[in-house]
Amino acid sequence: MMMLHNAMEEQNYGSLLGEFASASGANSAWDQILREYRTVYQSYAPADARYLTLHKGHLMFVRPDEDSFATGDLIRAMTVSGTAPELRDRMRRLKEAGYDEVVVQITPGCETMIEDWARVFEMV
Amino acid sequence: MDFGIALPTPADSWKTVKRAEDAGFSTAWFYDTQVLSADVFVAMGAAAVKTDRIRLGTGVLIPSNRIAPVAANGLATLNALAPGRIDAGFGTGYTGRRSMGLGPCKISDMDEYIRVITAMLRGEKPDLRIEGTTRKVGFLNPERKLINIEDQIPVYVSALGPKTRRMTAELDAHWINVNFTEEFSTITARDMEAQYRAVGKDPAGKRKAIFSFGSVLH
Repeated sequence: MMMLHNAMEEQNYGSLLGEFASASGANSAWDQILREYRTVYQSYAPADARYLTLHKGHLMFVRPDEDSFATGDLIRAMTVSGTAPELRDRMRRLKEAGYDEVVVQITPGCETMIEDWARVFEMV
Repeated sequence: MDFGIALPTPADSWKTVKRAEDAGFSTAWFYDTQVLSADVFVAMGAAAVKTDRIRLGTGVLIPSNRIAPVAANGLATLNALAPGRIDAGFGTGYTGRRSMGLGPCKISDMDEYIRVITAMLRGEKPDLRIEGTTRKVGFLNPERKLINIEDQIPVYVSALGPKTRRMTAELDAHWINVNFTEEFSTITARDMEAQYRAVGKDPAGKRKAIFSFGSVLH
């Protein structure tokens, strides 16, 4: 969701991804998602404070108004999610890239993620 | 490689941090997101007294949320509660500022902010630009042990673009990145090492941490 939020405010503040931001038209499927999401975004009120709704639940929960966008494909593409062996391999590649520490978010209410990730890290 | 957790800081996040400590995580990083989560320093204070080994990091402090002496004080106070276990992470402010309709802090302001804080934590009295004037500022009686500026507090900068990565290198700080994509993470890691070398710093002596958002599928 954060990438959708980022895209909605990109014209005002630039992209979090900087030079890695996708050029418009480079990915028609993503552009279609952005067009649909923008329709939802433009319904947020008041119009001069849409950020009060856009960032509600940031990194904590998916709002009902954006739930339809949280498809399996989007989750796969936009998060570092997978089976334990898949994630083990991704973490190994981060280690090869020179990282000293990987930090995973533990979402409030989902504290079992601690043990889930601990099992992955034991395999790295 | 070490593994840490990041928290959208609940007030009682010490419980989660303790659980992570027991599971073997090395660091807990707390978000500074004032209208979304609990106060970062209050929550870290509780975690400091409830844990023994896990490092506790501000992940990451937004310069505009508190003036530099207050941030330095918060870090030195945590350092008194958990000596040598505190990491000071700083960022330009995404969530905490966007949720108030603001863009990121200016890089030059952030650079100055971190320099004032790190100077204060070294026991120095740097110049502080405040209320249209400049004043020297520093801790007046650290030797009374109400705070702790003796144990080192490593500094990290969350830097997602080339300009902030350059600032990170010039500040001689460790680096926090975000794992948006594998390509992004790999290419930016190479750039960060190049930035350190460009300012005469050895990248081997600097830590590279990366925040990675996702879940383990069962």
